[in-house]
Amino acid sequence: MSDAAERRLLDPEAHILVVEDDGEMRNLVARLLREAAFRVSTARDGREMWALLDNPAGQPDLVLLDVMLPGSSGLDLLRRLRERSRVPVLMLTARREEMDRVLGLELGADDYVAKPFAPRELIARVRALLRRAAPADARPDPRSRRLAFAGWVLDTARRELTSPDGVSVDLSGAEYDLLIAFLDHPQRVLTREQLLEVAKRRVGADPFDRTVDVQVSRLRRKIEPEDDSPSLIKTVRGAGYVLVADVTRA
Amino acid sequence: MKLLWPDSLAGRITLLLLGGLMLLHFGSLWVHERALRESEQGARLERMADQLAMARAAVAPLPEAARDAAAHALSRPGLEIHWDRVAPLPAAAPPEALAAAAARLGAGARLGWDPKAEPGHRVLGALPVDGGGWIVFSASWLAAGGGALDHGGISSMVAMALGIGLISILVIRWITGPLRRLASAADRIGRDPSPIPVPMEGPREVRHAASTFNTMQERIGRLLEDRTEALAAMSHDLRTPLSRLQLRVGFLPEGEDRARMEADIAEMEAMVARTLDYIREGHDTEPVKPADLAAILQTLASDAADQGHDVAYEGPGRAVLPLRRIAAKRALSNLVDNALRHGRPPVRLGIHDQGATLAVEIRDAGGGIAEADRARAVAPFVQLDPARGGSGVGLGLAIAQRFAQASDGRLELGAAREGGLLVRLVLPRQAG
Repeated sequence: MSDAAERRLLDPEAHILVVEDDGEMRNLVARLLREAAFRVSTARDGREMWALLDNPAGQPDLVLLDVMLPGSSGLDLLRRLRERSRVPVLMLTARREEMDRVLGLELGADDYVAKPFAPRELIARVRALLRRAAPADARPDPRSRRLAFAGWVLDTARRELTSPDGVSVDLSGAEYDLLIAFLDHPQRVLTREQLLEVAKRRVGADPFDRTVDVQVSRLRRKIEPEDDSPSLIKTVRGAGYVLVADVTRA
Repeated sequence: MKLLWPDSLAGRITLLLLGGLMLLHFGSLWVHERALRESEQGARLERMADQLAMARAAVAPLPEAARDAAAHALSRPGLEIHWDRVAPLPAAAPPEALAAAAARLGAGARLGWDPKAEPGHRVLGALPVDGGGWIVFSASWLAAGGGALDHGGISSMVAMALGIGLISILVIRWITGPLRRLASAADRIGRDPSPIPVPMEGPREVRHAASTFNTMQERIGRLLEDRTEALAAMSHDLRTPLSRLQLRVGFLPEGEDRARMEADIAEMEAMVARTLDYIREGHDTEPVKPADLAAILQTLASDAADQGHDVAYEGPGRAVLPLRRIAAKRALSNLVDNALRHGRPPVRLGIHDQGATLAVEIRDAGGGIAEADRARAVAPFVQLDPARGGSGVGLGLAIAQRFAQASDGRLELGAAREGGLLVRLVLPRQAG
C-alpha cells in the first residue's frame, strides 16, 4: 500500500474522466484507475461528457476517450472538446485501426492506447501523460504535429519519420519515444536517468534489460545510417546524450 | 499409348482429323485399285484365251514332231505354251478362283494352281487339241498388276497429311483461343482482388461458357466478400470481450494462473490481429512511398530481441525502395513471428540486392518445411503441424504472400544453410 500512497503524493487525486459506451468496460476501467489511486468520473456518451465538463467543480485532469463511441462519434467529440479545452486526451482505439489513430492524433489527442490493452500499460500511459502535462498555456499546441530537424521531419500523428531525401524510416516504439524526448529538448544534455524514465513509459520492454545506450545506438543507426552522415546525437562523456540540431515545429 | 494420345484439345482434334482423313483416303484408294485390277484382269484373260485358241488352231494340222516347237513359238512374256501328248493335270473341276478363266477357255480346259512353282508359272492349264494331245501352258497373270503403292502415291499422301495437319493446327488454335483465355481468367480468380470479365467471343459454346464464367466470378466475388466481412466483423467484435477479460484478469491476485490467463489472452489477441491483417492486406489505402526496408527489419529485430528472442538483422544500413511501409512491416513482422513460433532461434534477417529486385531473407534454425509441403504452407488458414501446439491460425505466410503479390513481388520458401526454413520476400526496386 505504500506504493499507492507514494503515487497519491505524485498525482494528488488526479481526476480522470472516462468516456466509454460499453458499461462493463467503463466499470472495469474506472475500477482499474481507482485502484491506481485516481479520482474517476464516467460518462456513457457525449451528452453525459458535456454535462460533466460544464460543471466547474468537476474539471478533469485527463480525458480517456473511446473513439468508437456510437452516435456522435468519438472523433467528433474529440474535435469539439479541443475547441474549448486543452485537457490531455488519451484515446482508446481498436488496435491498428490506422486511420482512426492518425485522425485522432491530428484532431488533438495526446496519445492512444489500443484495445485490448494490458492494465499496466493503460496506467503507465495515463501517468506519463499527466507528468508531461505542464500548465496548459506552456504546452505546445497539440495540433502542431510536424517536428523538423536537420532536414528530417517527424510527423507525430502518423508516427512517421522522413529523411532529408524523402525516405520513410521506420522507428520502434522505444526509438520513437527517445526521439521525441530529444526533440522536446534540443541542444540540451539528457542524462541516462532522464532517458530511462522515457523508456519506462513503454511497457512490455524491460528498460533495465536493454540499456539506454543500446536504444540510443539503435536510433543513431537509423538517422545516421552511413559513416559520413552528420552526427545528430552526440555522446557527452559521463553525462548523457545531446541532440545537436535545431528543431522547428510546424 | 500415352505418347500417342495428345493431352491438349487441339492435339486431340488434330489427331482425329488426320486419322479420319487418312482412313478415308486409304479406303477410297483401296476400292479404286480393286476396280482397276478387276477390269485389267478381264482384259488379260481375254487376250490369253485368244492366244491359246490361236495356238490350238496352229498346231492341229502339223505333224506331232513339229507341234511342240510351233506351240512354243507362240509363247509371250507371262505365258509359256507347249504341246504335249498327255495332260499334266487330271480332269477335275478347276479351283474356284479359276472357274471364270476355265469357262472362258472353253470346254475340256483344265486349270490348276501350283503354289510351289516359280513365280510366273504358278497357274498351269491344258487345252485338248483336235488332232490329239494337249496345249499345255503356264501363266503368271494372277500375280501380275500387284496392288503395291508406287512412290507417287506415297508422296502425295504424305503431302496431304502434312497439309491437313498444318491447317488443322492453325484452325484449331483459332477455335480454342477463347478457351485458353477463359482458362487464364479462371487462373486469376483469388489472386486479383477485382473480377476480370472474360470477353464473349469465339464459337457459341465458348461464348456460353464465358458468360457463365463471368456470372460465376461475380457470385464467387460476392460470396468471398460476404465471408470476409463476416470474419472481419467477428474478429473485430472479439476484441471487446477480450479487453474486458484482460482487465478482469488484472484484478486477480498475482500467480501462475493469472500469468497463464494473460498469456492465453495475448495469444487470442494475436490471432485476431493476424486474421484482421490478412483480411486487410490489399484493401488498405496506404500510398506507395520510398521507404527504408533496412530500418523496418532493424525495428523488428530490436523488438523481438527486447522480448528476449535471439533475432538479429545482418544486412546493409539502408535499402530504399518504393513501399507501403506499414503493410510491409505487417507482412515482415508476421514472417518473424512465424520463424519464432514454428522454427527455432537463432533467427536472422537480411537483405540481398539482386539488381532489379531486393530480397528480404528470414532464416531460422528449426526443422524447416519439406519441399512437398511448401505450397500448402503458404495457403491461408493452413497449419502444417497442428500437433505442435495449435498456436495461431495459419496466416503468417499467407499475409506475406498477399503482400508480395499486391506489390508485384513474390514469396519463396527454401531451406536455410542452418537447416531451418528460409523465407525470401522478393520486391521490385521500381514501382510497377
